Amino acid sequence: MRPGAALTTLVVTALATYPALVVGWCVTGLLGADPAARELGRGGHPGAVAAVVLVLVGTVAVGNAVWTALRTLRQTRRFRRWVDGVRVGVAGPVAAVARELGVPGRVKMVALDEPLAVTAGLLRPYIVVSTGLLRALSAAELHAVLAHEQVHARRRDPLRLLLGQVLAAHLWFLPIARDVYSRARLSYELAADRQATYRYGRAALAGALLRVVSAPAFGVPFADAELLEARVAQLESGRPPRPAPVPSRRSVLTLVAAMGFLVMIVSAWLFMVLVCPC
Amino acid sequence: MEVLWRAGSAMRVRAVLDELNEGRASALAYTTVMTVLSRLAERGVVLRERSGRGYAYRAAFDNAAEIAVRRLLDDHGEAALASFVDHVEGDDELRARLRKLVNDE
Repeated sequence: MRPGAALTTLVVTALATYPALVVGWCVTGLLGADPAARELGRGGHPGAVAAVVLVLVGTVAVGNAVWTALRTLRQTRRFRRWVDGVRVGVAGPVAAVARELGVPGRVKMVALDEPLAVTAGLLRPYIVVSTGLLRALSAAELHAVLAHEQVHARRRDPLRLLLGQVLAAHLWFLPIARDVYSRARLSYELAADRQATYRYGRAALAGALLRVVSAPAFGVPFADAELLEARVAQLESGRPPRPAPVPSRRSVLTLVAAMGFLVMIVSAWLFMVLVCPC
Repeated sequence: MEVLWRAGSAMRVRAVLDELNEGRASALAYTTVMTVLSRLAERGVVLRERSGRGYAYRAAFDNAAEIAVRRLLDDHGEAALASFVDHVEGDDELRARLRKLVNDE
């Protein structure tokens, strides 16, 4: 998948819910203000019920999105504070690679034994590498890792990830929204890997991945084995792997939710046309 | 965590308890320590290994900063950070495939 397609899907879907939410808000407004509408609503008109449900869904969606955005921004700030607290001067070899990649001044180094390479920062992305990473990697592997992170920084992937996370939270009533977000994330990693491989070769990137996943400080299984699997598959074949299909239960539930949503919009719309004084 | 860091090796619940209760006016209960250790194990901060009929616990990271960054990457970090690797335990099969890629060139 082209990197960006998954995020575009989330943006379009989230925007597409707004007309429905506006209809819901209008009808509930009418139910509150207009005696005739209230009379029909009391009678349990399906359109009135649908409008109330739409408003509830929409309120949760907006609340969820705002909460996710705030939580993520707080985490980002916390990360930045942590980085500033353990920051050390950028080691010579790292600074040299950063210059080579055209991101001098965008790389920060932190004193940490475990190998860490992260791109953070929403508007002005910066790359964080740890002293442990420098120790763990060969020169070629360091080049590959920084080339990978440079792609994230250039494309402002942290900002895209924030947006994806917020939109997935907004679309809480569609179970595959999270899968679409994961797919976006996967496509960014694969794109960064392709660029790093193109510049510095397969062995350098594979070696870096190998050293980082077998670092002794990490013995704990974390989620998202799928992502690493896809990256290894791309390194082997030279092409992005076909994305794993979404579990059918989630697809069916999403389809049902989307259909329900449509029925409610039509129903609330008809009710609005029926009672609207304008 | 301090006790586990000092020990530098896996400890059984009883040993952690004894260490904690040394010089403490009101002793902690065995179950309290056990619950805390198993919670920490669920969160990946300590590693649990079989030891005889029970479990022994070992610190997964060397210091508080590592735990902080690990948790940051695991819990909420994904939205704002693009990490080179956040899945840090490649299984043996994946590692073998990576090794092959490195050696093939």
